[in-house]
Amino acid sequence: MTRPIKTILVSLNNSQFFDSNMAMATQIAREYDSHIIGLYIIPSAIVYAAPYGYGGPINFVEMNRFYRSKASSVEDDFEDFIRKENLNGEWRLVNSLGTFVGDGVIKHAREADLVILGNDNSIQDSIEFESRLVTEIGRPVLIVPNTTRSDFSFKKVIVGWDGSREAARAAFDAVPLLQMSEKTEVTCFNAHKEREMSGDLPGSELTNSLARYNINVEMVSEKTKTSVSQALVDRAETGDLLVIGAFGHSRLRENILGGVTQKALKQMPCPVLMSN
Amino acid sequence: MKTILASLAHLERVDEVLEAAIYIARENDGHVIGYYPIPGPMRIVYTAPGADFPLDDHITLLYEKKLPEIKAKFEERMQRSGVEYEWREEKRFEPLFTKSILEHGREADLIILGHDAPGSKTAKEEVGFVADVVMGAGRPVLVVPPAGKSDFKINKIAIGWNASRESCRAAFDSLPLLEKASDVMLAWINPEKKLGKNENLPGAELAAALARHDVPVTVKGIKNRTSTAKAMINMVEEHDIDLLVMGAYGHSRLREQILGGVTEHILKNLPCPVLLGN
Repeated sequence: MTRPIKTILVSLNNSQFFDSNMAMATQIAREYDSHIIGLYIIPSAIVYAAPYGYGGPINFVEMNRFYRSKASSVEDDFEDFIRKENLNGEWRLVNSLGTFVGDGVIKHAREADLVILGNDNSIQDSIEFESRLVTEIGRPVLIVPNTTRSDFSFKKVIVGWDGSREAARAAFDAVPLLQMSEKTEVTCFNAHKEREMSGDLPGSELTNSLARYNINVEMVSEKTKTSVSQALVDRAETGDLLVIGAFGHSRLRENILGGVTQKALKQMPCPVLMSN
Repeated sequence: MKTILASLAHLERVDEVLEAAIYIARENDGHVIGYYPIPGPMRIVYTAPGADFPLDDHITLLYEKKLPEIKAKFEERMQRSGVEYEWREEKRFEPLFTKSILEHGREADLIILGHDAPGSKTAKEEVGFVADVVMGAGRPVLVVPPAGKSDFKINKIAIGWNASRESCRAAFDSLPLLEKASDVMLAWINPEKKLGKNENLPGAELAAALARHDVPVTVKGIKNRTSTAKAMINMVEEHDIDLLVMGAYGHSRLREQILGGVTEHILKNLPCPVLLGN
């Protein structure tokens, strides 16, 4: 039995990631005959009401103008791509009432099986944007590195496991992608230090559960003297996809990510699937 | 849903939990784990100086005594049903079940818990435990009430939807069950409260996403002046719903998990089996 991905939502606001994001979406859509939604959010103008307590309100329209001017060219690219590759596509242009692109993405992404985002790991803002999306959407988010590659595959997948709620979420949300893989490694570093696990063989039940979906899965439990996050990111360099739970806590509005998540987003050794 | 963890910790609900587990395992060609944790003794601390620290182990003894009976019942029922199964008993150190069920449940597709009769005093006390499991597991949790008149079946499903992160989780987590159902109702109670009056098709996009998975889904907006929880219970009774899918909204207050009002009300007055996602 396969668990297909039927609706893929690709956030196309940043046109820099268009090629890599669409290449990733195509890869999955070919396997599962999915429907691809190209989402483009035009944020509303920011209105500052009566600055300093007097005078009229100020409209800050730069963002709105910028995205509005680019919308039609991205739409053309998207429609061309869908036609050329012969996929099921839907262009969704949203005039958002919110002033942030993220709000619009969260609202629409809740109705998709998988969300694809691009990541520019040289910019800290990008990581903060993604952390907020990952913790608030409630759907798995596949983050594609900013590369010129277009030949993504899922031959070898690394699943990070520490017995936590988030790791469980991510591992099971990744099942459709794991089913496309040739080999999946459930990787656990320094199991003896994790508080959420007991027993001698961490993740052995998880590997059994995944194997019932006909996934070729293997348990790897190792000790490392460096940090767990570094070890996991190094390990991910040998694979085609890293699956980790996005551990985050919200400090009022900002979402602060945990160490492993942060490191993976900064270094981006390969595409990363995150879930929370 | 391939791996189903049936928690047998609720000794009076073993039949109902197994019935639900067998039904779902049959539909999905799944594997049932009968999980029987034996809780550790409770340590009672007296404040009087020089007093002893006795162990209250009557719960431990009860679970140890009941073990052969429950195991026999489990194996007999599973063999009769022909479903692939596995018995797992475990002696724990801690007196509460939460940690043990979380540890095992996180590695399964679905957790099934038994629950007390609607409106009873014990159901109220049980809510905190269910909240801990739902919020900590990261897996969908099916909460089963005492058996009604008819057999356990999942034909008509209602999804309580309000576009929140939690209800989104629950809806997609229940997909394997939705695909097998004959009738799925996507219900939104008082949508205009969240959306404003301009959007006239609340939940249409989710319905489209579910329909791509061949789920026979219909969208329904319900207007109600009383509480949302009561409206949901009414809906279950009126439409003869077999399973209610909803998001468990909650927040953790240090270690305790506090549920939102609707979830808590539903758990106290469980009208039918409820699948909770978070």
